[in-house]
Amino acid sequence: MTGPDPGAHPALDLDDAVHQKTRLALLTVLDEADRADFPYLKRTLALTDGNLGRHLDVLAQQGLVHITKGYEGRRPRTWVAITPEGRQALAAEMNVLAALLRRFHDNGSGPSA
Amino acid sequence: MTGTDPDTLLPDLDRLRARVRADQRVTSAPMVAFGALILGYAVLGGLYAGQLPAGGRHLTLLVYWPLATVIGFVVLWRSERRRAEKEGVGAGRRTYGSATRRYLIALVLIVVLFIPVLFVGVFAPMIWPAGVLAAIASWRHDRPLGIWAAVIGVTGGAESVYVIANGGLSAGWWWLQPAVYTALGLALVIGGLVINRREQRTT
Repeated sequence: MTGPDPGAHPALDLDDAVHQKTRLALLTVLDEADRADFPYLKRTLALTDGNLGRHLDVLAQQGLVHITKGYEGRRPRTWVAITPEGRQALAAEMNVLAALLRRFHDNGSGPSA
Repeated sequence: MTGTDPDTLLPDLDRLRARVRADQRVTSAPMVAFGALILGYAVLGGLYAGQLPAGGRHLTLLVYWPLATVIGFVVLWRSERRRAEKEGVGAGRRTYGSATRRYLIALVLIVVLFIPVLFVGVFAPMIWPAGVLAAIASWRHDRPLGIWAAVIGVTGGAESVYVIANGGLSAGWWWLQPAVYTALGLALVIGGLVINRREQRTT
């Protein structure tokens, strides 16, 4: 497998699994908190159970988050933690977004200061 | 989250990070904890230790900050664990649990290798909590806490330099040190409570 062409547009480096805005927000929250429970993520990002579950499944399949289901007393509780791969993927995504933003402003097409 | 345009997405993500940090009480919790410990020092140093002979007073003040800092870290550690249990938000990569362990190792090294450092707690007592708050601010990338640490350090340090330069306080000025420490402690606690309310509104 060859790496991306150094002259290629930075948008080609975006990772589909991470770039989707809900998943990007989930990784950002988890990068800051290290771990959070299901209700906290739902509340913070204003998501439904089903929507949050689907996005977490995508991230977990990619190895970007780790989901632990357990009980606290008799109450079920699901914790989600970011993995080192998740942090790396988020950092790479932020670098690409920053590069895109620079390119956007350098081309003079950004909002005037 | 309003869109996928980097121009709006990046500020949105910054706001999201700020919201998580507000939920973690990153700024207010250490301010209230160490503000209360400074008030404790003002009471101990100004009222109680003043009645002891010089040796007992110095010993009390010598051990106050090393031990009070352990108490401060343990309180912050317990409160972040309680917050995780109650609200479901983790403390981040840099927890007060690891801060407590690191501090205890540093304290042992100070006692074994650099014992004169402990005298900071006797002769320039506000430098110690200011240093601890500055370390927490740097460790958790928290600028407002760093500013508060600088205010405590500069004000408390200036007061200590003044006292040392004048060979101690004259009999009529015995109240100056406890008054300065009480003011600094109250400023930190009240400032922490105000920031705490702001953090609650952010969430």
